[in-house]
Order: sequence, then C-alpha cells, then structure tokens
Amino acid sequence: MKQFLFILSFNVLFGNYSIIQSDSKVEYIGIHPIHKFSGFSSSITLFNICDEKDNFCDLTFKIPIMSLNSGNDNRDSNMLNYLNAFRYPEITLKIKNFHIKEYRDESILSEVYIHGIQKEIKIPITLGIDDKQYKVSSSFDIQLDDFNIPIPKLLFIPISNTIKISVELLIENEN
Amino acid sequence: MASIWSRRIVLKLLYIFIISFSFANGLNSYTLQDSLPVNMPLSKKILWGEKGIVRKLNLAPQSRSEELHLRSKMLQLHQKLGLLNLGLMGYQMYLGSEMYEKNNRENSKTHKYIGYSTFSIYMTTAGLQFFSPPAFRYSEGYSSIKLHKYLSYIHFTGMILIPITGYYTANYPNDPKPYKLHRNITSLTFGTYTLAFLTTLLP
Repeated sequence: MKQFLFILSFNVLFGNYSIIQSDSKVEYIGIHPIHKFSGFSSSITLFNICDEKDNFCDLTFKIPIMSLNSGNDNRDSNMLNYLNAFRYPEITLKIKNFHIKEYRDESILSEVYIHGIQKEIKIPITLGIDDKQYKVSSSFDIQLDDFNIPIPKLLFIPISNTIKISVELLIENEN
Repeated sequence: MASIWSRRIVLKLLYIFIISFSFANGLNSYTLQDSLPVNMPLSKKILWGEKGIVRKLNLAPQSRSEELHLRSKMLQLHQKLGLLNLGLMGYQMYLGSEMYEKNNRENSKTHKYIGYSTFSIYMTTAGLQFFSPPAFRYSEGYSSIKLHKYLSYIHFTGMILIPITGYYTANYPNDPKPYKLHRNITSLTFGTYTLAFLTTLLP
C-alpha cells in the first residue's frame, strides 16, 4: 500500500509526463521447446526530469516484478525466485537526454537494470504524438545470462536464454 | 544543462528526499503479511499461514524470499518424480494386463514390488506439492495449473484405492470382481495422472 501511494504521489505530483496505465503494458515472452509463455504488467511508472521546454528529458521507467502476471501462479512465484525479486523488486529502464519528438523504429541507447545488474542496450522506439498524448511502442530481446539470471527448467529442459520484451505505452503531458 | 536545475526541479529533488526517507523502510522490507496471499488454500494456511504449524514449529525459512526458493526446489523435484512415476505407472498397467489376459502369475511379485515403489514415489511427489510453501499469489479464474490440481484430486483418490483393490485381486484370483474394480480404478487413475502431467506442458 505504501509503495502504491509512493508511486502514485510521484506520478501525480511530479511527472511532466505520466503513463496512462489502463492503456499501457509491458509484456515478456519466453520460449520453452514445449510451449511459449508470456506475462504482462500495466503497473508501469515513469519518472522524468525535463528541461524548461520539456524537449529533452531523462526518463526512468519502472515495473515492480511482483506485478508481472503470466496467468500461472506457479510460474510467477518461480519468476520472483529466479529474479530475486525481494532483493531487486523492480525492473528499470533509463533513457538519458531523450529528445521528445516523433520516432519511427529508431534505435535509442538505454540502460536496463534487472536482477541488480545494469546493461546498456539499444532499443527500437516508435513514438507518435497526438496533441498532449504520446504513443510509444518498442520490441526488443534481452538475454537472461547477461543479467546473471539462472535459466529455469521444465522437465529437465531449460527455457530459451532469450526473452522477448514488447512495450506499448500511452503517455500524457500534464503541463 | 543549466536550465535543468530550475526551481521546479530543486523542489522535486527535495520532495524525493523527504519521501525516500519516509518510505525507505516500507519499500525495502517485505513483512510476512505483505507477501503471504490472503486467499491461499486451506492446506497452505494450516501449514504456512501466519500462525501455521510450520511457523509454530520454527521450521519455516527466515524470509518469504527463501520460502519461494524452497517452493521452487520442491516443485522442481515434484516434476521430476512425477515424470518417473508416469513411467512406472505405465509399466504397472502393462504388467497387470499381461498377468490377467495371459493368466500369467509369474510377474505377480514384480507387479507387487513395483506397486510399492510407485505408491511411495507418488506419495513423495504429492507431499512435495502439499508441504511446499505457498505461492506468491493465487489468482481467480482458469489456468492450466488449476486443472492440474483438480485432476490430482481424482488420481490421488485412485492411488489410495489401487493398493486396496490390488490386495483383494491378489487374494481372490478366481473372483473377477476385485480385478475389474482394480483395473477400472487403475485406468482412471493413470488417465487423469497422464492428463495432469500434460497440463504442465500447456502455456
């Protein structure tokens, strides 16, 4: 509850840009030789520090790992264990000095923090601007071993090291 | 960059500091109440609830994080023993039909002893699930893991009845009734067990 109030107060009081969570989601897709599985979260928080004109911003997106839901409670509990979610409760993506303008599948350098490990990765971003609303989409891969995450197994067979991440965000400028 | 340090930003940073100090403890430490699902099944509540037997006996790991780690380990073993048991049960089905159809009693000892092993491994497998710490959440609605659980109620009952009907089949070889009952219960148990196993392969 405290965490929720904390995030809410941050978003409401101090975001030039804030995420409309009902229209936003981050989805992960994992692959096991027997089946594909996926989970998603809409509990995405955006922290931003922008210049006076809101043209250039340092953006930080955060997702509580506990909010990721795959529809399988056992898998979600396992994920908390593998990601050590009680010690590293969030997945964070930072983009520094981001120019707020329209993008069409352009590669942006970002810093991703998962499992206590930071890694710079380039992610393709598509950003459409409609009045004060910003529609962002992106799709990229992360490698579990890059973040020192043990690879889970089902029936002796490990899942793929590659996890696909798909992002759909609707962001509003409140100024 | 000078423009970034406007009065608004300084105020924001001040706010962040105040809020961080106020909430830091709440964000970093999860108490048992925070992470134990309120809607956990009764069996988990009795064993692993706030006043559960495991906690009263001081057998619970030090934190919820360690509990989830233990759960993960126990369920991994549950999967592996479950797979081994599927093979043993299939072989038992084959031996049982051979004995009846060919009226061949030569394999009766093998059938009996593999039966003991199957029963023991099955109960160990079930115990690993039953005694494991509770999941992080228990969602409403359908999921493959729920189907797995519901099927387990049927095959667990079957596994209790199989040795009993097996005993009567062995002691009254000329009476077809115990055998028919034993065969039907075994078929139902093996069928639901196989289905339960297959549900673990669903997304």
